[in-house]
Amino acid sequence: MIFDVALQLAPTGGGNSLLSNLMNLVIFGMIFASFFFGQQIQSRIAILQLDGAVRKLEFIRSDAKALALRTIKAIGKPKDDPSPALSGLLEQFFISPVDMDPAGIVGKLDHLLDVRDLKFKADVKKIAPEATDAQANNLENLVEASWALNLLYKVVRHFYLLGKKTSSFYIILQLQMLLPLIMQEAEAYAGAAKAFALGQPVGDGAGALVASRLMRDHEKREVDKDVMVAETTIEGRRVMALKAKGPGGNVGKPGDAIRTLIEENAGKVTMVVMVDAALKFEGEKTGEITEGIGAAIGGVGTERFKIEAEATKYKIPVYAVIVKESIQEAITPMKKEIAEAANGVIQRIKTLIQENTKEGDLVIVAGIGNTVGIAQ
Amino acid sequence: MEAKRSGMYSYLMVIFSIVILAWAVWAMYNAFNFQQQGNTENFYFYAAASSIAIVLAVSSIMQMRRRMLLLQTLAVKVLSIILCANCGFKVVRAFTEGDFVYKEVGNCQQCNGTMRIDSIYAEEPPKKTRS
Repeated sequence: MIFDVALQLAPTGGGNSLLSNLMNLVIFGMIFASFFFGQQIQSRIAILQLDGAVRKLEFIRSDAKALALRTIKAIGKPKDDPSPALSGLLEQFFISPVDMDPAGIVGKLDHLLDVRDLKFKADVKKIAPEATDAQANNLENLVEASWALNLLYKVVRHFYLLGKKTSSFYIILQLQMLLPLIMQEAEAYAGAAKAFALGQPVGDGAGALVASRLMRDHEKREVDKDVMVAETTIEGRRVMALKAKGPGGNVGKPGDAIRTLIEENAGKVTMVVMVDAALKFEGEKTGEITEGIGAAIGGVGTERFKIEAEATKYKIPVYAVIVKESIQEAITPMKKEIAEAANGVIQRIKTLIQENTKEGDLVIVAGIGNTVGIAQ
Repeated sequence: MEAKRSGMYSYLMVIFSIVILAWAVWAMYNAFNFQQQGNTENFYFYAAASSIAIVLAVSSIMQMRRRMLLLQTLAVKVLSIILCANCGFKVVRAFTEGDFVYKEVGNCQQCNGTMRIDSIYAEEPPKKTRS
């Protein structure tokens, strides 16, 4: 329509028609606008993009909450409506201990984490009374994934609204720059929620899978809270393999378990081998196995601290064997490459044991990670 | 079901974008013809319309491509690998709720030994190789 009017206005032929003058004017206007209002235009575009992302995050969060609610109702068979209690759980928070005087902070943090864990477990059990221990653990992990999504949504919405309210280009820009990573994380949590609802092993369980292979068909006992251990032999060496108690979603407290095992054997442990999933760099292959020195364990650091302290006390070397994967792969259903890496890791452990110990020595192999969907 | 509907929508959008792209190419061809004939007004009209259509169609196709890649990752199949401890007879089936590694799932069809789930993993649909 506009063009029709413009064409009627324009004289035929030649390059100096009214239309071409108008076009030139528009182009100059655009250059002028981009000089003086470029930042505002960019902000508007970013806000539109952020608006879409906030809506998507809200959808993912609601979806995960609905999944948690459905699973709680199906497994836990609660008598009352679990929605208000679940909403309360999703709003829980954790206050880290004060670190102005760092002496003894690990103990304080460990204690607070224990309290949080116990409270979370008790709350989940309350809203899902019919769930077995394994199912309650899976539900706990599912609620935690929903909690993480809820927090992610609230943080992103906070900065989005703050940026809009203050018209701060830099708040909007920072959020826009981080958006691809945030959305990736949100999608990974959504995948994790589904995996926990169904009880499927996740990529983080690579270490637990290796330990379970070593523990298979051997007598098991609970060495510490939620950690199982079994004794086996590799190349004439006594090997104590441990992992979190499965098949429910659980990470246990491997630091406490390793300390207990070392104390039980009066420090006569020749080597500790820790197996865990570790983050790969972009471009690295999923399921690649590498070796290193030190305690391979994630989390806030309390478990690593205990292992390092105990190993130092008895001068026990700590080796790490890791299976590389991305953060998304760590919390979504275990990929074939990661599952198949388990046998390769066992071969590496055998080589490590042969090279660094002699027959009759005692070695601890700790399979670290979430053991959802993996028994022992 | 939802993934199927979403996939259908993506394909329709791609087809629509290809139609727009084809029209844009035709419009661009016309624009060049008009320029050679000295018809500046029509040249401007077709060149501008064609450029806008190309940008919109290409951006729409790129967006749908990303969406389809995402849908492919969502279509990951989780499998339970069941092994006989005695004879090594292997059964691969889709994961069902309640499955876990080392769960006993009955007796072997070949030797009547105990069948256990040996591993559970997600398998991505085979990637298309470019020839």
